[in-house]
Amino acid sequence: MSLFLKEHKSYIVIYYFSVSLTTFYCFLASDFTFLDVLYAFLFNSFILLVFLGWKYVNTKNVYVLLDSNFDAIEESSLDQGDSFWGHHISALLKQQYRLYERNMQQINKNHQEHLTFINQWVHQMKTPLSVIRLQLEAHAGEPYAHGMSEEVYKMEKGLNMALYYARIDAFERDFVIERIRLKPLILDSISQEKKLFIKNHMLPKADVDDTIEVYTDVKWIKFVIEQLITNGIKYSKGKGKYLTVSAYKTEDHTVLEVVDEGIGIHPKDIRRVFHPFFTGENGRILGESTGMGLYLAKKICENLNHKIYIQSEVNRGTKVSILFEHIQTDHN
Amino acid sequence: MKYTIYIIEDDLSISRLLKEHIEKYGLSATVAENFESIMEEFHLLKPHLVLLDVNLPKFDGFYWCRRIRETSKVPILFISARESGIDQVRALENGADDYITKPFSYEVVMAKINSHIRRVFGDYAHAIGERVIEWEGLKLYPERLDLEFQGKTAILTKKEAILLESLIQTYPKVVNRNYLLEQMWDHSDFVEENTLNVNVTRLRKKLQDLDIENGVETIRGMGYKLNKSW
Repeated sequence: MSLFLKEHKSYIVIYYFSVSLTTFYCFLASDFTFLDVLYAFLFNSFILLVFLGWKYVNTKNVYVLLDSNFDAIEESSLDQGDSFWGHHISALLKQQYRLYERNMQQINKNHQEHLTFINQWVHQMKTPLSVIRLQLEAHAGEPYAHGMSEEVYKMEKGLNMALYYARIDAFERDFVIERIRLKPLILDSISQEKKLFIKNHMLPKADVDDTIEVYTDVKWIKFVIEQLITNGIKYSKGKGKYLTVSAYKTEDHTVLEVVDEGIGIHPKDIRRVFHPFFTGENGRILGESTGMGLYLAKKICENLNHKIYIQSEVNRGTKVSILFEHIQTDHN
Repeated sequence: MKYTIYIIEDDLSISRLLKEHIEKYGLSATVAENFESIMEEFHLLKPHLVLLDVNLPKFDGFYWCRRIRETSKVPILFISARESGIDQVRALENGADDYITKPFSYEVVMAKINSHIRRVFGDYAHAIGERVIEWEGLKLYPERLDLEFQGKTAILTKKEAILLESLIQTYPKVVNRNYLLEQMWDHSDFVEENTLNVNVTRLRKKLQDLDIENGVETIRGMGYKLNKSW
């Protein structure tokens, strides 16, 4: 309403100005009485009021629109009524929306193409890697073959990371929540990284009660745990000897922790470790960081509805915790 | 009775390597050549087990799996670079028995082939005989953990057997320390450097019991190698 009045203020002013001028002229020129003037004034006011009222009702949509904030882009394409402005503004917004949509479709299409390419490319690389790996097996244990198999392993890890990154957008279509025991999962993940433990002269400790169970997606959470283990080892090089993976229950959650005794993360970096491509101080020192590991871990945890926290003290070590919802046990 | 494995995989290197390895275990293996007439070849060959890739020219593995299932209950194992849950579910829904993801190792493939043949055809011993590793008169039975030499027998532990097997297989080259640690590393028993030293010492001792002096040689900074001292 206020917008409407604001817009028509000048009309009202000019209208009364001209009414006043006319009646004043009549007053001077003929024998208009004060009552005649008042009558002309009220009558004109009535006409104005009816006109403005009609106009307001007619274009109300437009003023409501101008006064509101959109929550979704789609709202702007709603019909704005049959009034002059309503009609034209609707047409304009619809056209804008169409252009915007076309743009979005193009961007989405490019994005999808890109992801499809990464996906295909990763799978294409896996076959030659398999061949290399099988051929290396014939020379297993020989020092040079061993060095090579370590490099092959790094490539596999890198490809996997790319694959999980490409896949995270399609998360809704690719996860299965199951009730699983944490212990075998953790032991599996540790075994998966045994090359890395041995190479860096480190030992894992798994401190998990056999009975602890959580609801999660095995494939994704395993990727997260392996990522945390890899990080833990990477940032413990030559410093800490142990990496501890433990799980326990608190009052509110089931907690899984990966704790290292490594170089730790600088306080100025710690808030940003979950950002994509962030490598920070440690990335500069050690190289070989993509800055994607913790970012993916965080995103996956969010998608699975787990919470993830990181605590660290420089030169003392780092602790990453994943919090799972308790499994509701039914007491009959 | 010789079991036949039919390998349907369009990557020539992988299919060749798989064929060679499978044949080492006394099974026979045939690689599919014409990806348009898989069924004809299948009926001619009558394989006991099929290894099937997902990405194939013309039709994909899921298609061939369904076609084979129309007429046969033979075990079908998928080998694929795709490891998403959905692909695995799809494979199983199309009638597959198992799913192996690339990059895989021979160990995994052989173990799965074995377990499926054993399940379907019953007789495990016939599929693959007991493994014996022979080297210069030494006979190691990795499954029984027995070591024989000139009529004498020593009983090894699992870790010692792994150690000796690696040493024999790599002879005359040196075996990398880290590789040995990896081999000995068990699912829930994480080995330390010291464990390796201890096991080498114990293996030396057991070789000594068989009158082999100085059987394992330490190569500083690299690892260990066998020393043929008899």
